[in-house]
Amino acid sequence: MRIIILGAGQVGSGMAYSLSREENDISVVDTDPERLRELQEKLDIRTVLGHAAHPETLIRAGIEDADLLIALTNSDETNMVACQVAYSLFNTPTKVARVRAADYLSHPELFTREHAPIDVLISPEKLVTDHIQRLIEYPGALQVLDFADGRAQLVATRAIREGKLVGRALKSLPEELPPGVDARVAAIFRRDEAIMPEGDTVIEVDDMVFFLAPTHKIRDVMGTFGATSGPARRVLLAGGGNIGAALARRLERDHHVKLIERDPKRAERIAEDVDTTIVLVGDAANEDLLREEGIDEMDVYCALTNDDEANILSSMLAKRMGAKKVITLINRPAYVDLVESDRIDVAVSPQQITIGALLTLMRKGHMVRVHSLRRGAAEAIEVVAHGDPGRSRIVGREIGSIPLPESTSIGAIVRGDEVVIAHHDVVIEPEDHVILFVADKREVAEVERLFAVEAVFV
Amino acid sequence: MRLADLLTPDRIALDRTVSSKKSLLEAAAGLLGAAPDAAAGRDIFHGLCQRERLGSTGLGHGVAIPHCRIEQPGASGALIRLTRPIDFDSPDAEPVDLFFALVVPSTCSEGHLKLLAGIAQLFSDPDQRERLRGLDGADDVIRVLNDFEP
Repeated sequence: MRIIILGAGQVGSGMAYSLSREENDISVVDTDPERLRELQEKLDIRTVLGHAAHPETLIRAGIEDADLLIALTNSDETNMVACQVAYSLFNTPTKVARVRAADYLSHPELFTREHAPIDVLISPEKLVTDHIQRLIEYPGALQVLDFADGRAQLVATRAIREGKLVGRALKSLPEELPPGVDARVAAIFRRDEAIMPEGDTVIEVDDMVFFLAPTHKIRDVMGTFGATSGPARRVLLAGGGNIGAALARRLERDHHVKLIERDPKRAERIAEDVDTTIVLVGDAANEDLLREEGIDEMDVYCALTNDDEANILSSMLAKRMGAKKVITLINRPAYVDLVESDRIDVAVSPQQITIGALLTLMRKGHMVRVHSLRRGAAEAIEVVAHGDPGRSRIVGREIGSIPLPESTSIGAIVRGDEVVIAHHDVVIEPEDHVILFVADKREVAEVERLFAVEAVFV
Repeated sequence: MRLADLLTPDRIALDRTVSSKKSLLEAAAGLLGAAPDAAAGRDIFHGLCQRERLGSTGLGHGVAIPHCRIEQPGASGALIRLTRPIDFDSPDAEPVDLFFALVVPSTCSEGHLKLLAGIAQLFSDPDQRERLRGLDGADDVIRVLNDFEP
């Protein structure tokens, strides 16, 4: 695919890095030659110096043949104008823009073909806020991903000895679930190796289990692996940036929320804006402060400052002092690999979350949602099945007879409003949304080919 | 309706040069949008792009049949031959130089499906492909289509 990325900042460079590892032809545009040179040294991409929205710059970046424009400069306005120019002058099929100002976002009627022709709006901060909120809602989960507009969720949890299903074969899962609850284990990672779940696969302590279930049944399923299924009550947020402040406002209705912010002025502004959240001025890496605020009774501690090192240190401290679950925002991909262990429960990487939103546009087929998992090594995909029964390799076939690649499984299908858990005799109908777990990303191309319609399909 | 009725000489472009799949679809939409009662070229382009995402319309052997449904009263076609073949994600991974683009009304009928099948059949015949690659003018193309009985 031919892709132009505007802006070589943190998100733009991260995207260039991730996308250049696949078969893509990438140009990155920025006004800072130094940044471009750095990228050029590391990656096999084209760099273009210039104003990101100017037609002349875009032409040099290859806009006439580009399939996808991703506008990630620091300026909402530049991003919006670049998409307008790409649409009006160059017919660029897919245009993505980062727009952060809530004021623009509150007028969705702006973003139509007649006005600001942007196909997908990306707000990394909002994506990260949503992501962390779901993790807080399920303290036992390491990952919570939405599918089918939130009707179904894919959840990762760590199996512990207390779980009723732990030490037993997966086929006994239905016995442990309340009547009427169905779920499917989509993948298991044991000591970082993917295991394809079969009926006789025995769950071991410490397995990371990914399962799919209808959203309102997630808690029932999580309990069978031993994970805390109840909701979190006490939450401590460290860092009052946009993400911290937004989370405080969203969570304070159902949780006891405390927020630590270092800058007194910023803390004051947040305090005016929240309702029941207690806003404290101080340093989250301060042991005494954490103790005073009852860190040992916290269900969740979230480190959300823009300083990776500070987040990691305060999280390790909080965990040692007794916080039950620790979530850490980490921007640098190398750090994410380093710390996700027993010291920090979940490392949240804004880049990985944002890239999922972009992968949805890049994968071939009628993709609804693509989530990048395990630092890009695996993917979870929601794709619409098109084709005519008898001629398609998907539509009209039983799930058990679909020739899926080795490390790929179908977890569920969503038919209209109904979530149907995948069993081998379920037949795929046209327009079904199929949710797949691809444990090895190298199999994605094969999945794309399976779902591709015939050349004569209308 | 016969295949030849889908085309007029002004919607036959021999020896075009484009540098990407996107530019090819733009060129096809431009020709199709110029037909009488046609939908806007922009909408056709959008439709063709959407359809390609579901799976390539490349048939292999250097030919492809980009198509889509669109809000317009009838079907129309365009034929494009390139001087240099381009990558079109075909099943045999061969680059493509011969394109028969087609738009059908959104209320697509059995007859329209037959037209598409007819084009696919024409293109799957090695002799026909070679004839179309060797022709000099639009009138010759229409003659070939007239002679072709699916």
